[in-house]
Amino acid sequence: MSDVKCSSWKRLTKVTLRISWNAFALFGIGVAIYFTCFNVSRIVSPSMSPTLEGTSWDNGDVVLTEKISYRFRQPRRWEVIQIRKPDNTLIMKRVIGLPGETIQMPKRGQILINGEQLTLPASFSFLDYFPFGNLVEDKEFDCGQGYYVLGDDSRDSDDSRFNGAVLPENITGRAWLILAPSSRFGRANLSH
Amino acid sequence: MNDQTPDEKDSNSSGEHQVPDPSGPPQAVTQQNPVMNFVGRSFTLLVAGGGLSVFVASAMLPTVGATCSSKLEWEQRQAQIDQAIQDEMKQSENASHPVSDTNNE
Repeated sequence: MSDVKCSSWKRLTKVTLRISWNAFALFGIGVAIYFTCFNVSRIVSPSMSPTLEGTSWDNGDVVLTEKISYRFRQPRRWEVIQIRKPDNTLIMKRVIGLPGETIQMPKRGQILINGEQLTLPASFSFLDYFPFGNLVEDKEFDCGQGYYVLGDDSRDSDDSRFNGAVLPENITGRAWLILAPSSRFGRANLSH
Repeated sequence: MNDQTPDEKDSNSSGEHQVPDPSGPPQAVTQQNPVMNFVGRSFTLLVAGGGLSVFVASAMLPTVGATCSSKLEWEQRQAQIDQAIQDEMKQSENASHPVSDTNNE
């Protein structure tokens, strides 16, 4: 009788150890994949509203950023990218100007790239840009080697108008999915 | 009776060792229950997924983008614009009033 008990305990221990080991291995693989390919962050300010909503840590979209695309290609215009600032904070903005281009904003909502008017894609008709910072009074800004990025709610956005163009090495990834809240689940980068 | 050659005897004696003894020690046979396998794998995935979710949630960073400073800059700038518009309106009113006054006189 005791032999039966002993063998069943042994078997249970063996199964538990096997499951634990497998789970630990899977967890490790998951962590490695996460750090290599993804990043999850929470939007805590409304500068990208209405695309990405958030006002505080308790009330903000949880966004999954993928880091793979930009290993194979450059960021494209209108994409929402994640940037690491020199003070190590993360921000998300929309790419407006590409390296080598010049930007002007003669009036609210009107953007000139290399002197030619930039037409907003139909799916981005909600965007309304304000000529503040280095775009005030129809000034021309040269992107140089960087990307000119703006917040979707440009009335209150700390973006390239105040901080200049973003260098490629400071771009950490592309906003991909809104994970939470569930009511806002979906792609963060709208197709255009 | 004993008409086997010595070579044949040798082969028979070595053959006895090669034949497995059916009454020998029993080999351990692991019987895998597919249901238990499925439960085990599901549980493994659940534990790993749960752990990963907790890890990702704890590693989550805030993403900012609108700062008080930029808001303040915008508000200050907006106030300057409003002030400039008001000044311009006052100037145009002042410019138009003397003409109307002289006409009335």
